[in-house]
Amino acid sequence: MDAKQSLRDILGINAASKKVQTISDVLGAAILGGSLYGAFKTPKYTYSGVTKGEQMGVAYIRAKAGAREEEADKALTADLAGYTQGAIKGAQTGLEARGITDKGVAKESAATVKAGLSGAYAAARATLAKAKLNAGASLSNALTGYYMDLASKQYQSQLNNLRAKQGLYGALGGLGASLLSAKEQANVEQTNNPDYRNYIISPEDATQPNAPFKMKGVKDVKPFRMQGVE
Amino acid sequence: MAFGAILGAASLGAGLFGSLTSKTPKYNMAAMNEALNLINKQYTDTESYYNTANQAFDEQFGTYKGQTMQNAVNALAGSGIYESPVSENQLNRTRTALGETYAAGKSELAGQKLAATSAIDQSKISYLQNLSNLQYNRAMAKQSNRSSLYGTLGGLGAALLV
Repeated sequence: MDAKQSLRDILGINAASKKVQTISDVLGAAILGGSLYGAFKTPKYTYSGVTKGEQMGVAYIRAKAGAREEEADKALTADLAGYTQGAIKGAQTGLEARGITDKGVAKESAATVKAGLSGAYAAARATLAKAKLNAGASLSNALTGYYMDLASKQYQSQLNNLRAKQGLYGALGGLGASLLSAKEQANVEQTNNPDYRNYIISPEDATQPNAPFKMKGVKDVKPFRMQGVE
Repeated sequence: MAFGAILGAASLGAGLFGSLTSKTPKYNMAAMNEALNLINKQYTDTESYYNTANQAFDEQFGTYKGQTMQNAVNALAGSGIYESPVSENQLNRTRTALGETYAAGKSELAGQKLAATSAIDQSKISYLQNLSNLQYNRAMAKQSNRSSLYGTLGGLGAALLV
């Protein structure tokens, strides 16, 4: 049972009615047109478009991590400078308390303090640098995973959109093919079932020359027979 | 004949109704928000722990430094060395040694803070990645739902037209 037949059954209209043909054609065209329009208008999402907020979040984390490293560097520099100044001041105060106020001696004392602390500071900076490297490597690892996933999903979304397009064009192509096929079928049916009203002799009669001739519209009559004569 | 038509129309109607009314499932945003809150709390906690530890270190180191310097002065005095360049030289050595401890402690603390925040950063990146995937999957499901609806309608239209 096809859709048109169902429509005829549901509407209770005579199957042969031309009206049914028109209604189903108009309805079909309208629904098909609407659905195609809807399919074209359906938004095509992309991974990067949907996840803009999260991408900004990741970029923020990245920037913040860089800023945090700088901050740690600055804090350590300030702490060490503060300690150095305190140590130099302590040494000079001690010297002044002993009556040694010579600037040259104070300079020498400060240089000794700085030299003494330089090894410790170098070690401290190395420790911090190592921590920075470890933290940065871990973060890079996480970021690499994130960006790999991002790239993979972006490609996947492009493939999805391509599939949707292909489906749409495939449906259009299928419709076109069906319409063409239906038209061809209608032509074949027309050829196989000609309208006999235009013929005096039906094509079947013409292909059977030995069959008794029948005139269309004339009732068959029994042959004349004389009574008593076989 | 009519029964088949009614059955077909009812199935089609049910299909269209189902497509129109079916909702794309929502992911558990409450749980996701909870996870985000925990991550953000970890940042705040780490900052707070670091500040407390740094402050405690400064205080303890100050006390330790005072005691060590006092011990050095006492040791010099015990050896009969009072207020001389020799004692100052010796005290400078003590200050330098203390500087090593101070610098090592400070750099260790800063390193620990960086390691902790980096681990939290990784958690947050993972969270954002999961959230992205959920959002994208939901968008795809919506798109697929609409495509399916228009596909059904298109099929009906084509069937009527052909």
